[in-house]
Amino acid sequence: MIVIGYEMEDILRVVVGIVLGLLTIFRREMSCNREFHDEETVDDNNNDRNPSNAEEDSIPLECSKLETTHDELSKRKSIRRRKSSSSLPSLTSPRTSSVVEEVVKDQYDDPTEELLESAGLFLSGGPFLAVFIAVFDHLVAHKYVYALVIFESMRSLIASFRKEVSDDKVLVEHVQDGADESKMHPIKEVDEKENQYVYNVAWNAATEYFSSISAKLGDTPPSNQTTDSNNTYPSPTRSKSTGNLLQNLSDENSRTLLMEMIAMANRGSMDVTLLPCDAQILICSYLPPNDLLSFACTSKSGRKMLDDGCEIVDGPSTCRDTALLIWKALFRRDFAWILSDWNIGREALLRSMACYDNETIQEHGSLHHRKVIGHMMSIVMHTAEMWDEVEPFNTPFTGIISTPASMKEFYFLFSEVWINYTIAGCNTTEKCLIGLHGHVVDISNFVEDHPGSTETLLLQAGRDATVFFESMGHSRSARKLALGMTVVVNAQSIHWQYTDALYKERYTQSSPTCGLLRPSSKLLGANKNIPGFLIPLKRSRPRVQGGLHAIRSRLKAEQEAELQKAQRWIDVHLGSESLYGGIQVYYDPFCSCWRWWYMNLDFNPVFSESMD
Amino acid sequence: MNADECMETIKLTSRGGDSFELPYAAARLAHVVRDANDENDDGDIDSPEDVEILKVNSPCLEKVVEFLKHYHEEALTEIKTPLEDNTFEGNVKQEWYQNFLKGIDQPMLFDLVTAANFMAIQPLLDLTCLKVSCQLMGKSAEEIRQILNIPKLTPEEEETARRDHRWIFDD
Repeated sequence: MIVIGYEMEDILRVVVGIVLGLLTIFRREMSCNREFHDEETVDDNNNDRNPSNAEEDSIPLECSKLETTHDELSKRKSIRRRKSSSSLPSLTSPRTSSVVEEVVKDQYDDPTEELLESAGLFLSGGPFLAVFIAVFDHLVAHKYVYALVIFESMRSLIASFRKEVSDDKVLVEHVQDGADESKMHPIKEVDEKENQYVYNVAWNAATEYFSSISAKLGDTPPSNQTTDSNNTYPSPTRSKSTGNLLQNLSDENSRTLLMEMIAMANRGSMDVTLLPCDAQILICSYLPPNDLLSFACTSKSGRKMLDDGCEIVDGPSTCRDTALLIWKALFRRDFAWILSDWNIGREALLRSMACYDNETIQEHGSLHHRKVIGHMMSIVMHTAEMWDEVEPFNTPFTGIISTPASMKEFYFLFSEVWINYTIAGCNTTEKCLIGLHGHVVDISNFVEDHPGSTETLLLQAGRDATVFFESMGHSRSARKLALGMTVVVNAQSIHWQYTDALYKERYTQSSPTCGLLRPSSKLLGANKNIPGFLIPLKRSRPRVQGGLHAIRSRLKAEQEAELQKAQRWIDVHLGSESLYGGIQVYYDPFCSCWRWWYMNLDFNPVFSESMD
Repeated sequence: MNADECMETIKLTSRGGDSFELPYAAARLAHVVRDANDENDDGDIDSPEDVEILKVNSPCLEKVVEFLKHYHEEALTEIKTPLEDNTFEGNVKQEWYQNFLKGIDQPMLFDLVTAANFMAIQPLLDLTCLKVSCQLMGKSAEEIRQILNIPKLTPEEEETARRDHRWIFDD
């Protein structure tokens, strides 16, 4: 409508201009694309190049042209909008080509030149270009530019994401390599190449995963030929080496292995040892100690997580701290209550504490030892807070002779020695306790009524008396009687198969509990009265609880040596007639030393340190 | 305003940018939400604000929000140690919580553990850790290795590990 009022001359000029302009653009675009191809094959190390250029290969010329110009246009448009929105209407009509030209030249001198150059439109001539842009702007921009802008930004996002995935840009290199390769080969091979490219990416992710784990744990990477070959090749040939590798992996097994590794890489960390420390401690605090030891045998990292005294623990001290806290949590769960809630255990702990004061202060070797002591003390202090009598703990415990090498060792030491440690000296008519098949039985009210002589009982009390109990041959009713007097139940010495069928079934897997329980514990329920559950029905060998083999054998040997030493000392210094019965030894897990005790002629227990 | 009686809802936003809406009273189980809202010890807050949980991805946060909502209605009974049973169902009697972790895959379980730890949701951490524990319970080293997909030790390492951790079994 607006055109009508103008001279033919102008209209003609515009039409011819448009035709010429389009022709030029078209020609230029063609040559541009060819150059683009050439560049691609020659230039391998151009970092700025878009990794996904290859995709454009199949896109029709028109499209790729539009894309490049759109890109620039969208930039232009935003500039234009910002600078003068009033000039926009005039740009929409072809008749104002000269005006447009002026506007463009005036306002966007430098940017226009730049844009033209980069869009490959430099030779097309000012007016035609301006017309083209104006028409294009009007017709297309509103509809498509936004879509393209979004497309572009998504593409760049994906590209940047890919960069993120591989720290050293290996992956990006691979994407480019893969793309280039697929470009240079005939279409038939493209599919295969694309597959290989997918494999390359996955493979790199898998190796990345392994190396990151091994780096984190300070381990050597899993002995895997393929990983090694990958690492030994210099980076340019890496893609080729993986290609060969994939050909070699034609057999079923290797392929499954590879797929597993890829799946693993995709699934991320599956290892408990990579979880947060708090979660590790919580998970372990639900498990019985034997399961934790199984876990420690699974891998190096598993061992590090659970063995705070382990020599291979040389990484950051946090590893050791986790292990330490795990065993401390287990100690609290399994044993702590007998020191805080059971008066006999409390007295035993007080005895240990009293010894602390007399010891000379010693410097302790490693930091870890001091930590172990600190945590042992925190257990003690925590226990002591539950008591009314806090006085014995006013003096700091600085005089520990030696400490267990680790919290784990402390846990297992305590589980071995707790009976003899806690009930040592409890062999008077007022307070008489014995250890029986791993449990502790309080026979204080029964001593006088015992069919055998009271004295025999007192001589055997104050320690584990299973062997003596069984050698005397006790009746079924006597065993039942003992069952009723049990005060501490050791869950590891329970024979769960005597309970209902349900438990019997589960027993085949593992006993569901561990640690020490009160007889009133809900876990035992009505089961504890079932014959054979806690104490065997008939004469049998002592029930052996689970434990660490290394620690048990060590303690056994030490106990024998200590007993001989104590006997010699008694013979030399006191004479066997000044005590009643023999001298007994027990291991004090808090002081990490052996202690002696015996009955004097007044039937009172006398405690002594180990003497030379 | 007391947070317990707060009727307002807030949005938790995941790493993926997805938002999940839930009542503030339910969300405050997560200490990270309390901290973000400057809730003091008495549970007083001004007006609850949305929280971005950038360390947790969308599917996982969805699950977490599901947990928070339900926990507000039916709290999880405290899991006591030593455990009563060596199965997950034996220790968690509430049906909803049993089903909550039923059918989720291992990576999701691990994500939940990490998320619970990060967001400081103790009951969820307890529950998910118990699930992991029950998977490990009563298993040999070899079985654990398979469950958790752990690479094998070298024979020498295996031997030392076994020697140091030799367990004494009943008769």
